[in-house]
Amino acid sequence: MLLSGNVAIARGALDANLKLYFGYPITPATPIMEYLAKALPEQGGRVVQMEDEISSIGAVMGSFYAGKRAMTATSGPGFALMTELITHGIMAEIPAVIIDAQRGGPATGLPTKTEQSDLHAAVFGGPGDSARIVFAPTKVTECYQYTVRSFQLAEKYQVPVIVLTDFFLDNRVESVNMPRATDEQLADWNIYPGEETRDRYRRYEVTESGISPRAVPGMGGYLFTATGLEHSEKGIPDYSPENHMKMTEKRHRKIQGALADLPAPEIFSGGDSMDVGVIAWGSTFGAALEAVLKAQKEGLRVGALKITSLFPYHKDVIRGFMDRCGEILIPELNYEGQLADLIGHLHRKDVVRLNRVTGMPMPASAIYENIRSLL
Amino acid sequence: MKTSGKALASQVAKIEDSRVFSIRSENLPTWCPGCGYFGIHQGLNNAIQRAGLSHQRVVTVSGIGCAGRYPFFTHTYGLHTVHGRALPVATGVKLANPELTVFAVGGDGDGLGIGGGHLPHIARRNVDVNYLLFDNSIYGLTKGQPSPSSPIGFTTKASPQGNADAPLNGTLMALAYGASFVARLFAGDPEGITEALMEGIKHKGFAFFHVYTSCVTFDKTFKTWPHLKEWVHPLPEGHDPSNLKSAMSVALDDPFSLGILYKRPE
Repeated sequence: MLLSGNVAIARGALDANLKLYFGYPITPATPIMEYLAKALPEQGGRVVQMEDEISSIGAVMGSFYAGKRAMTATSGPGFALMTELITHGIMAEIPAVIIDAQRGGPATGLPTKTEQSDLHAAVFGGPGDSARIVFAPTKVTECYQYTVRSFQLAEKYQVPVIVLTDFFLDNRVESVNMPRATDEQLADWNIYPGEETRDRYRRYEVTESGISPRAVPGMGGYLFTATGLEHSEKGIPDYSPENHMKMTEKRHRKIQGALADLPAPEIFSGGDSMDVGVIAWGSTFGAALEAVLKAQKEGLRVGALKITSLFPYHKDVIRGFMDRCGEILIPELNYEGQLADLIGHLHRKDVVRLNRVTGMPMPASAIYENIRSLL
Repeated sequence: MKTSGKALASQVAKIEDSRVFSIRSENLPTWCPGCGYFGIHQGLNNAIQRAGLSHQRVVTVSGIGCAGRYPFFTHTYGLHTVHGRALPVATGVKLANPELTVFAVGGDGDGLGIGGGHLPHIARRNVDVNYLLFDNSIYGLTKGQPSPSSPIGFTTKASPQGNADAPLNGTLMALAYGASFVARLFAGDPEGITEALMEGIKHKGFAFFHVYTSCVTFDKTFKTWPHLKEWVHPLPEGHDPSNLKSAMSVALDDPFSLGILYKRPE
């Protein structure tokens, strides 16, 4: 069937049994809200158009806190408004699912043009040491699959999960087999407290995995207060030096543990040693793969690496690929080279950046020419 | 003054009989001695007890400020959010599980300043949340700056020449925004708070409780206990709470009258 990235996201959320959608109109994310406004009530859910993006993410977190799946979708300017509450979700360990459909920036920027310049904001945005989960689909079917997975991740790791798409991916239409979530993909990953902790429940208990079982209102014997203040295992404000060290470490350990449930980078290469390796993310990956396949056909020793997990990311796999390459080329639709900034340090020498901010998708020809010039 | 052991024991027994402690958290309030919030705490605790609400089905949502700390001091599920955002978060909680009774609490800075943009929208959506605005007309947790409800001329460390900006009338705003239940209360009258809350809990829709209170530490001139006690009085005789226009006129002309100003007829 013909499917756009935005509709794939909406369909994924519906199949993941979304209950509440809270949002505020913004290009290019609005079609997700419009699709759900029709479809979500048909399966017993509800769409509420909120007064701004701050209230949208706030209501999403209130809903997850009370035990129901909720979601919001926005673009760069709206995402910027959400960052304080996103870090609250990180500190208070409250799940949330946020779609950030990137457009040209900064500020109001280029609302109807494509860009990949929210990576830094998505991965690092907000106050403090605030580790969250960020992943970016590269094609329409992944928009569906990653949306479904984002709910499981948010509930298991009790953290806001950001699905980073871009204007081009949101609006382009691909001919695909309609994805269907499997039972495994729909399994409940919530971790609730056991009977043994009733009446002596510690909401933020420090565990080996960093995951503390999460109670929801209505459960007797597990009352707690979720807070964005640094807190003890019982959830009481505690600013002592040992406690802040311990709890910060717990939260980061938890997010690094999520790597096991995040899609690993995919390598597209035949050889053990390559002259050029191209690493790309988001909608740019399609162009990168086209360029690499063309070069491979011509007998050039090149390969491609697809990265969809932006945070946490698979250091070992990425470094392993880089070690097999002479040069690393990272094409991105941003000026700063935001993925290059994030993972470039894993390479033994400077990575080569290909940055374009034309508001247009990355052409495969530009990547191909850069591969050629590096040989 | 010395209190005999016997008198003390009888006082403790009296407090225990009041059942207030069963809803109190084991975490003692961090508010200053003499703070008006103790009265609001007592009023809300009593309302939860008297309404027979099961603690595990009550969620108290707050923002930031002295009032923001409220959830830690009460024996319910609590959600201490960021500054100004208690109302949208409470909206999410209530829509997710309508069987929960949801209280949102916060101060005048939290609710009329940084979070002032959310009040109209929870009111027009008529979400069944009970919102208590603790209004002492000052930022207390940051040690005394003027708030959106401070009067013109109010002097603080941040307004040494006197506050230049006109105060907001929270009660009138709630009525104008279409809140379906609006009450004005006084922290020095916990029983009045309990009675109004009992009505608000029964009310199906957004209920706004504008509670006048005193910051004993940072406000020595305006909403002091002696002033508040002198100013507050009951609503005019025969006030009809089903009449929005008369509620608005009382909110405007008689700002220290207490009681249920408005309750939209079912």
